[in-house]
Amino acid sequence: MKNTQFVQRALVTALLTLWAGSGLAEVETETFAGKMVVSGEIDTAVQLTNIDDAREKFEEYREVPNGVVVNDFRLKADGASTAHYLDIRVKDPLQDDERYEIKGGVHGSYNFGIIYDNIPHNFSSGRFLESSAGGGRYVISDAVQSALQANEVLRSARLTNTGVTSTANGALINPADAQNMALDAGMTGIVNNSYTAANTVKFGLNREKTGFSFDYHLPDDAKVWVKLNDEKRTGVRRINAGSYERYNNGVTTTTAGVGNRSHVADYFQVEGIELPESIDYRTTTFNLGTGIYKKDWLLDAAYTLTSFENRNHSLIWDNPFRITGAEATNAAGTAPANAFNRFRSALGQASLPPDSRSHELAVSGALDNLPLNSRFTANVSYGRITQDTDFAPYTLNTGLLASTSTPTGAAAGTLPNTVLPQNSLNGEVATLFQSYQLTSKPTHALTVTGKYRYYDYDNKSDHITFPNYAAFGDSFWRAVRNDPGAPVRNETLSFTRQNAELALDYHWSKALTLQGEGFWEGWDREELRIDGTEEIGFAAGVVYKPSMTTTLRAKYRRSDRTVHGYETGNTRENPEAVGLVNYDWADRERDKFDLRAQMLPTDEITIGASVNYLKDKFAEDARFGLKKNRSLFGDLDISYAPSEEFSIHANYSRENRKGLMQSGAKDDAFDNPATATNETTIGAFNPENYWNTDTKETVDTFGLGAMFHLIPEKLILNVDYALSDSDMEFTTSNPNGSVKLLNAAAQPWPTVKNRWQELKIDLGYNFSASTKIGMTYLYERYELDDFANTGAYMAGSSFENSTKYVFTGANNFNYDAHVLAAYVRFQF
Amino acid sequence: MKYLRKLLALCVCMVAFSASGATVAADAATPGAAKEPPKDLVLKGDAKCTECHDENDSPEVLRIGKTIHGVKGDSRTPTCTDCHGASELHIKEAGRGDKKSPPTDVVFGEKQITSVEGQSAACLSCHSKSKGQMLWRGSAHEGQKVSCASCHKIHGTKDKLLVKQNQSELCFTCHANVRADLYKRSKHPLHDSTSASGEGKMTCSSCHNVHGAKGEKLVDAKSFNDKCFECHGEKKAPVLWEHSPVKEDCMTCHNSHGSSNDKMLVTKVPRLCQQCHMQGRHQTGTLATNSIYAFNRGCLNCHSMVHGSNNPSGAVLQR
Repeated sequence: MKNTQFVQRALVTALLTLWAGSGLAEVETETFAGKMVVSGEIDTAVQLTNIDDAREKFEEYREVPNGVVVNDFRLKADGASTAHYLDIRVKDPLQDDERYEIKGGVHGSYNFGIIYDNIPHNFSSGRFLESSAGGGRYVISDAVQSALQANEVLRSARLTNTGVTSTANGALINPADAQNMALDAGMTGIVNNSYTAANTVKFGLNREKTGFSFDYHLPDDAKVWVKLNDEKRTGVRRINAGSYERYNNGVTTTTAGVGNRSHVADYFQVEGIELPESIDYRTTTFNLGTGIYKKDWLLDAAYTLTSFENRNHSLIWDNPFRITGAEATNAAGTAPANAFNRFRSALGQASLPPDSRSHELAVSGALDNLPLNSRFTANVSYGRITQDTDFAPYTLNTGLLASTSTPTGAAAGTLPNTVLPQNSLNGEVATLFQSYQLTSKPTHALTVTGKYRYYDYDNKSDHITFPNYAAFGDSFWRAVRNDPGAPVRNETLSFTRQNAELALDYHWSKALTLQGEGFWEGWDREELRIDGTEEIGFAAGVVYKPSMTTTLRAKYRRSDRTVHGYETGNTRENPEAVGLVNYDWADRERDKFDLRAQMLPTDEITIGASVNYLKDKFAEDARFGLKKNRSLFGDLDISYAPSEEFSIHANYSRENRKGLMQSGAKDDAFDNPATATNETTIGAFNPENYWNTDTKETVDTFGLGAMFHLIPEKLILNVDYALSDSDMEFTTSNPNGSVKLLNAAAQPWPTVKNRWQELKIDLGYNFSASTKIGMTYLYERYELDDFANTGAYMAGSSFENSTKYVFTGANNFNYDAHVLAAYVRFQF
Repeated sequence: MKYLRKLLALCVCMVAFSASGATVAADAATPGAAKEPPKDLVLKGDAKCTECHDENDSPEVLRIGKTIHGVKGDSRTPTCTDCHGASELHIKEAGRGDKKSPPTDVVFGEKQITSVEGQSAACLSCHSKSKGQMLWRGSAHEGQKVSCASCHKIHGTKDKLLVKQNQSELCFTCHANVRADLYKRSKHPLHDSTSASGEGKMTCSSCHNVHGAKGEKLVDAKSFNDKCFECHGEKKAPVLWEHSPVKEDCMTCHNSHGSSNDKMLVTKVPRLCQQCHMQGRHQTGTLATNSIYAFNRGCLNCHSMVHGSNNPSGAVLQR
């Protein structure tokens, strides 16, 4: 295969070179002489790569192959005395990241463009126990399923901490302790054996884009255009399906003033599978428009149709651990989440993104030379998005479909209802966008700009109330959506967002411009746990140019956001903890400062420096959630170019980001809004179980480069080095001392480290004004140290019992890459 | 088959070029086509300038003939004085002894005497008629006193007449924080479009219109999300079970320029999710590094449908 690619690329290189050469020859013929100007370039190379470890990460968005490659090819023709033009560009032909583009037309009359572009996105490689049967269906041999099912360990066989078989609901069991893991030896052995023969799965996507555009200039500055784009996206990416069961439902006891509980830890067993999500998307966009563009006014209108089609509406896989479907034990429990022995469907399913279609009509206009030297612009667009893909069934678990257990949360005696109330969402969203801007310059020194934006997202989809749904890994039927007992009914989230700003620029002097700004933003939301937010702020800045060689830009911005109608927690409308406020909906005080200085002290030296500071304080009165966020960035760039034959540049930046979040581990009794102020005596989030995490990230970025003419105008050396080095530290602490629950105890997380380095060397020799040959060397190294990047099977080494969770282990991203190339660039 | 298709595409390009080249030639050969005045070297009426500014004096000046502003057959093509002003004094004083002649009426560049507004006005005299620049006035860059010539070299040879080799490099001159983001663990494919081994599948202008846009942060769309949906269209449609940030603001969870976390997330999973979700016991633990809720994909090991689910049993975004 590699030989075939080599031959193909070599052929293409030869073809393009010969053709370019012949094109050049043609320029000199009678036909073209003096009639058109032909120019272009071909850049071709022979390349040798040596990549250790994760080639996918190195080639995340590109292909860097061995052998003959054509890096770039361009051919441009312009009429010598006419406005005709044609511009052909080819980049990386026959590679995974190939791109072809043709533009042409007559300047001022019409233009056309055709483009074909391939964009790979490689993730990583892993091991997958199942095989693809096509169309998003994955299968495993019945023998494996049968063997694993035969070795299944039910909760009734688990041992308590004191080593006896559990029979009571409430007994303290740690399914991940040594004695219980020993019970799983049969299952673990079969899975490990299966992994030795598992398929390698390469996670990655490819976008194949084809586009056509044409515009035609009509008389009187009018224009019409049409664009058609089609994108095919294929490949696989990671998707997971899983569930858990909690292995001690201790009976709650509350002791006034103490907050004791009947247990000290929550233990879990987790079950699931990591899969390749089959991607097979088509997105087609058609755009048609017309406009008139006069000097004092312009007006245009455009219609856009976007069709998104997904050829795999669902993903269906064999559960490796079950050959027959079964519902959970104790599935008819009336208290929520009491059923155990979960995730026993023989078939799993997930719904993938549905097909959709959207239409948009947009009108834009501008009026210039209005009184007070003003310009007014407006953009208005109306859009409609629809989606009516058929729903998948509730479940493919035959055991659950045959169940007669009363769904959790339903009235006693109620039978599961397996019939969907309707077959699709009848999804529809209408959007209305308006944007207006008026800029005036009433005096030479003063500029006033007013802006207003309005965006309405109106979700008109059906509200559907489902009698029940298959919950917790297709384990049992549930008739309530959350613990406070909300019905299983979807929310059609809608919102209206408006913002306005008024900015003044005053030229105090030739060197100094003062800037002031006031702004407001409001969100109104529907069917969310919040009614809206309102933010108001101001900004002040200067642009100071004391000399022609120095420019200083500084701006400070302050804003305050307030929240309206945040639903109290532990309710059907807001099932989250009382006292938790989401940071995107929280009261917020924001301070932002930006400074940028640019100096050109001599003709040879350029210095740039910048500082960016951002500080957010969220919901000071709220107990939980993100509380603070701060980032500070500083950068210095220097370049020195004393001559055309030598230059050097360097840059260094440091970024510090800090975040503080507050949380708490949940105990047995759920938070009670009526007693939320006295949580030490009642409530699930006891202050003794609070925990905070400080996140601190430091990123250093460094660059150094130089260009030397070793032989003036002939032999040129370019060297560039870049480094990005980041450390992310997580410090978790318990603000109120020792904790009641083991789950609340602060856990040390190791620092997550990222380091990327790139060295590029290019030594080129100019044979002539049109021909250059040279050598390039690229060294890239990426090191990621992240505790989250674990192997494919974690049975026996995870805090929870994960015997029944099979991953792909596609977590290797480190690489060390060397690319050596010899190139020829020919310009004509 | 795939390679055959690609070869075919290549051949079509070549044939198209050859065919249109012939068309151009034919058209150019039409009798009566305008001929350049004898003394103009590049642009119509440039003789009074090229008399001094010839190939020997300043080759860069004549390079404009190879740019979009030097298309002779286009009636819109400017003359030297359309951009630089009549510059009577400059012409009058030119070549008088050793004394340096006064500058033209309009001089472009960072270190020039012409004001930023004056420089941009010369360009806008034509380009304000274009949709792409209709929102320049009042835009962030205009407000920061960035002139057209800060980014474009009209006599230059680079794509879009940029002063730097590519867009990213140009924008990083001021936006160094974005450059730092693009070197991080996860990012969009903007890295180094000019290098043979670079990615360069996107540019800054894939999302931003630096000349002014209807969206915030110069995003060329109605909202951040509408820009994201242009490439991530599978997240655009309404679904049965929504995750509100997906429809409100992708930036709630993602940093579009790059991040030290996977998937351009603003914070590492599971802490990112835990900042907004405190319902059950399994999601409110501090989580050891060997917890399945913390490693691999964290919360997404089960709640994989974080962008919304269209499954009747997908209320908690698991399927």
